[in-house]
Amino acid sequence: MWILLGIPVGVLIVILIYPLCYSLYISFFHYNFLDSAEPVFAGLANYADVLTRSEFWQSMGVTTVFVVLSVGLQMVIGFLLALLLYKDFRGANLLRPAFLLPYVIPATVVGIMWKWMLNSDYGILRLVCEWFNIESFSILGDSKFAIYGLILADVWHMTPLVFILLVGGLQSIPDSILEAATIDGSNGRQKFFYVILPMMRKVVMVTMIYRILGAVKTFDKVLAMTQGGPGKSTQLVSWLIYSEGFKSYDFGSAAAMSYIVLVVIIVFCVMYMKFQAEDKE
Amino acid sequence: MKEQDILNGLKNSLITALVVTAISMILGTSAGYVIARYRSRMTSIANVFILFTRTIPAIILTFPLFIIMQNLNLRDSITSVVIAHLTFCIPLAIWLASGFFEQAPQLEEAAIIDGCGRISAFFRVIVPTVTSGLSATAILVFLESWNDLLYALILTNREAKTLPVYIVSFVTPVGVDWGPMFATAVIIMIPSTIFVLAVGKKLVYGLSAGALKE
Repeated sequence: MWILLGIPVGVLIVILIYPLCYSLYISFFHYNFLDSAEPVFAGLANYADVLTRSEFWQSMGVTTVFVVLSVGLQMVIGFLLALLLYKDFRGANLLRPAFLLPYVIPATVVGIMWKWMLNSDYGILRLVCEWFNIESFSILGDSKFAIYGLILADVWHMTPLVFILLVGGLQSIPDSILEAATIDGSNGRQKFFYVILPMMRKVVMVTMIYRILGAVKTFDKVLAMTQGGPGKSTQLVSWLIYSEGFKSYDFGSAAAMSYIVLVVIIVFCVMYMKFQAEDKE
Repeated sequence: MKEQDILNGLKNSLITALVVTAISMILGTSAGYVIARYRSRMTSIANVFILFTRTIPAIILTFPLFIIMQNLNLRDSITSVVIAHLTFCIPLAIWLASGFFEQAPQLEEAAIIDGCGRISAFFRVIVPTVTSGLSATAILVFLESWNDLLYALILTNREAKTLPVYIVSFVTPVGVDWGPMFATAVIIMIPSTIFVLAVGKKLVYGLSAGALKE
């Protein structure tokens, strides 16, 4: 029986853990892929270099804004939609899976689709601007607004997933509890704040973590929509690492950057698990 | 950009996603089954390990995989993309499958008493009770591989390019070739649309089971 577990874990160690360690190894070297010279041991120089670079902190800042706003909006919109549509109604079994459509579209396609819609000359943006009598402007071409274009695309893409997960959570609340609350004379708002919200807490938290981990990795949309620009205004951290590695071919500092991000993610997850453990007590 | 290129991309995407799905499902169901059924320290370590692999951002593996594939002379081959996709598809398959096996009724003992061997008890008694969950798993794994851009982008440059890589190659510094780009986008959305229309409910079930597992 153990061989059934051993083979998959073995395969993962070879294709996943070995490259992961290799990446750590690279991060301690001055390793330029285009240089024919042998990589030189650098100790912590790459880390020191990355951590003192303003570009890196700026990118972390942009990523934080992106993650907070994007996941925040997804959670709020997803929760409202789920509250509206979780009860059974005619056609629910058709409508709810249809919400999956945006989610299963590749992020690349979502990116180019929004790039087109946000085009100032022939996108739908122009029409919307005309309604409000403002001059059409290029959202993705303006360093102040480009990040919001990216957030808009991400919210459109991922809210359906949040919706589906939250509907699952809402449906698992037993009807009897809600009925009991009604009999005890609570109104809709009270039911929401004192019954539904506390019972949904875990599902909401898990969904949020899931989405935060996803949003930190956002790469495809950046490539399709803005390529980090204009300037560095949409340079999310995955994009920065990618350009460091595959545009300047400085694998050493790119690997160091990615390890810093991994550590941040792990610290975040551990804090979350601690928080959850305390919650249970 | 010619018709030939897009057809080549379609072929590459399809082969990659199918091979990745097949391997991930074989390894995922076997590991998932053991994790779900044999509670011990080993399996709980394996469980945490799988959870950990799912938090690793893809970008961190691009550099080592790029160098390794270069050294093995595998760059721009479907094999390299398959290996890269397996790094996130196997954990996903194990994660989802173990969830479904946990919910399945424990019928192995009964089947063995009735004269089944261990292996045939697994295939003839347990697997039929989780087919719905496993097919959702297979579809989600397929889509993850089909939709991936990052790994395919760095590991391929001509022969083994997949469809998402073709899409972004229409965005050039000179301008965007909108028409062919959206034609490619429509082709790429065909499988996802079919899956949602045909087995949407099952996918909803798979996604909720996967994300909201303890």
